[in-house]
Amino acid sequence: MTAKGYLPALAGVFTASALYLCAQYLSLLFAPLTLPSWLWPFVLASALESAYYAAYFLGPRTPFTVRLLELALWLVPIFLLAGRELSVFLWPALLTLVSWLVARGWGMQLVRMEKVADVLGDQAASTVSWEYESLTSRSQDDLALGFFWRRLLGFGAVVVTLATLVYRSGLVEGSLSVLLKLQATVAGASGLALLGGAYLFRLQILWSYAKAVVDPGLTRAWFRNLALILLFVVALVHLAPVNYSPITAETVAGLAARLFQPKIELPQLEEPVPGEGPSLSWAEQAVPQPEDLGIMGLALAIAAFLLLVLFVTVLLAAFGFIVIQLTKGELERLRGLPKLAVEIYAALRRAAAKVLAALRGLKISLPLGKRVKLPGMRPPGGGEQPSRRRFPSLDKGVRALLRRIARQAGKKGLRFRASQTPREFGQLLQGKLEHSEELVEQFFQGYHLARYSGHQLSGAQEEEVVAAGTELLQRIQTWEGDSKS
Amino acid sequence: MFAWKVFALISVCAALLWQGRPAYALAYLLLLFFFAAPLVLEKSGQRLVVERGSKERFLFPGDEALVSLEVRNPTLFPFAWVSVQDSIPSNLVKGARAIRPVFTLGPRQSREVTFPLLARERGVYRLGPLRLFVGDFFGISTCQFQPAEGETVVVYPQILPLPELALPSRLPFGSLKALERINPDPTRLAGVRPYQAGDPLRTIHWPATARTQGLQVKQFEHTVTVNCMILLDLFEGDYEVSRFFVATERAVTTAASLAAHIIKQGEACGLAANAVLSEYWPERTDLSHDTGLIQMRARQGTQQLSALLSVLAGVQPQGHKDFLSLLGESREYVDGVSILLWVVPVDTPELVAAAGRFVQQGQKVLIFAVEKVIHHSLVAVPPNSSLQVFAVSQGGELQP
Repeated sequence: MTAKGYLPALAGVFTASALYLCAQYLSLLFAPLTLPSWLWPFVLASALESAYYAAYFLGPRTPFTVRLLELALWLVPIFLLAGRELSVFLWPALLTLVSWLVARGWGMQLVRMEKVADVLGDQAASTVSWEYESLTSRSQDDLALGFFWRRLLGFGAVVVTLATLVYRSGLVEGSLSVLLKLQATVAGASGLALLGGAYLFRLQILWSYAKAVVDPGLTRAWFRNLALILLFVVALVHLAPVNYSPITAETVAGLAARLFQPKIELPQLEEPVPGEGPSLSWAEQAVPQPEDLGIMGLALAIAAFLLLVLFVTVLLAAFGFIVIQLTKGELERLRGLPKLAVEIYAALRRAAAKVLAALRGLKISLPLGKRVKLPGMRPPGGGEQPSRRRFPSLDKGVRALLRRIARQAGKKGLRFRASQTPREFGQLLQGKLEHSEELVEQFFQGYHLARYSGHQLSGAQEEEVVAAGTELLQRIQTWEGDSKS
Repeated sequence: MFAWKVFALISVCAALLWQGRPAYALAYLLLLFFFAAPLVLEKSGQRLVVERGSKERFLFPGDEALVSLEVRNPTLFPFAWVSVQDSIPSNLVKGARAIRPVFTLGPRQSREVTFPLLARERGVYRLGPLRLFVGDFFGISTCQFQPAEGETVVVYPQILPLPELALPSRLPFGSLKALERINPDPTRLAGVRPYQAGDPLRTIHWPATARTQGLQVKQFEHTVTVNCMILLDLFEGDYEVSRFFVATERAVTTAASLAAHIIKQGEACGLAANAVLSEYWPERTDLSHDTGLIQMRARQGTQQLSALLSVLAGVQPQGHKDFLSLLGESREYVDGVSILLWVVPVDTPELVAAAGRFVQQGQKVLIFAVEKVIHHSLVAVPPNSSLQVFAVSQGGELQP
């Protein structure tokens, strides 16, 4: 049996529990968003139904009314249970709808994964590979598990943010805390089980295409080992030490507030008279306590956090630069932190190079608008002026001109096929257009220089190539066409 | 993956700043999945042990065999899946393609994997390198390892009965009766006769003496054991391009069949060939193989047959040394031999002239032409002639 049979159930449980958890945190933060006790079965059942329906029955030809009926199946009872009051109905209905939609996404992704033949095309079985398919392989990211990881971590981030807000505000105590922990554990475990199952499902699809000889007991062993891993993860999450960081948001905010607090010249205080009550020091008077910081304090904390991230990034980039200088060609052997540092350094370099290239392009494109408007040059397309948007730089303009020539020639029956090189297309064009051999030769030679030489054309060359291309375009427009091509 | 790692680091920073078990839990999970798990997978994968069932394997064409591998996980880390890819030469693959087994490997578990082989053509093949792929349960990373283990598979050349090569089934090999009666062969009893003065006592046939009540002595046959040497021509220039593969393979098959026939008769047989050995041919001390020249001394026994067949499994044509060079450079191996068996594509006049020189020295030369016979007069000579030519054709039909 393939893993697909279990996956919609896991998806439903995960969706319902994660969503219900979020809703419970929201209800703690905002009192009007209270959850009725009867809602949980609806959220779970709608998620399960939607995931299974999407995984097994939903298709592009499924009528829209069927989907509406599906929704009505869940929303009408909720409306009745809400006492037919719209204000009571809206929040449970929204939760059920979101649960239903999210679960539908899971189911549809499973179907998409099954349609792997569309992606594999006509590949021979021996060329189908699963050995390199993982998050580390960028090309396979989306097809394999990128979707599941993104959703799982998205839910995780939202739940953690809400939970942090709730716990910091001290709204959770006693049995509710235990209940929420239990729900979070169920959500996390079912999410990870879904992830592991989805990966197995993907592998099973690839194995069937590759005609691999798979151990018949693999699925059972997979889920058994997965269960052990989940137990380990749950234990780690609940037993690992927490709150040991000496630098917290409060301390950072306090430091930031102290830094940015304007130093006010206070009048000289009188010497305290011995025997009088204790007086506050200057610092105690000036610095507000963290809980009194309000929105300003929160903004400062976020700014401090961003500064911290920036600082870590810069540190890592510097470390990466040193590593590159020391290891030279041995980068592929790096692992862990040095590899991360090198990757950050490389990413920053790429970003800097892109910014510089963009600035350079901006500099070049400025006079081009004027250059394109050559005296005596007739605008292509009967008075249509080439806009600056189409010719951001001239070598790109030459390439755009080729595209326009190809489009125009295609309209006249001479298609620029994907299997042809520009030179071959030019030769065809030469054969079709009378007395245009030199013009075609000149344009395509210039195109090759602009496209493949690796450096930009000089001003005069650019003008000649663009003039030739424009003239060629006009001749194609006046050409009667070739209906046979 | 880079983005996921950055996300993990951000979550760690957030957990450190904002505290609380939920934030720490997310940070721990992300650190576990994106940093620790790939590292553990790689380290554990490096400790996987792969052992082959055998280092060498010998097959005849058409034989089927199973290559077995044992993959052992000595660590406590469970591998979600393990995939084994053995590089099997296409001439050994059974079916359309090599199988790709996938299995799971728990902590301290081992698993045996088998690959079916079908020996299609003679040759010396190398199985491997073996590639082992492992993955985790969440598709985060996969690793590839290449254990150094390899296995040599020797597919012997086909051995055909002589009639199937259009050769007479009773070729004049083996021990010949000596014309000069000076070498009695104690293994071949010819009969008994009455004792004469001077007969050695050890030749007395005691049972016959008891039966006849008079001294009887054993009478032995007088024989000379002849050594045979097969000289195989695999010089590329001697073969026609259009029939190169068929003719060279037929030459090798002929040499192997002759060697098997001679050794089964209990005689000694050696081999000299102007050929190169396959890249993977296992090193042997009893073989001289300089570049383009293979020489094995004449010996008896099944061990010699096995060695000869192994060499013939690995011989490949070469383009540097012709057959006459082989004759010149194999003097040391050829001199003490009584019968020379030349397996050549064509009995050219130069070859026949060279054979004449050997005949003059008292050796017998049998030429086996696998492509074409020019000297038809030498085909029709009496069976015991010192120089004979045989037309070889696979399937038993005679060459026109």
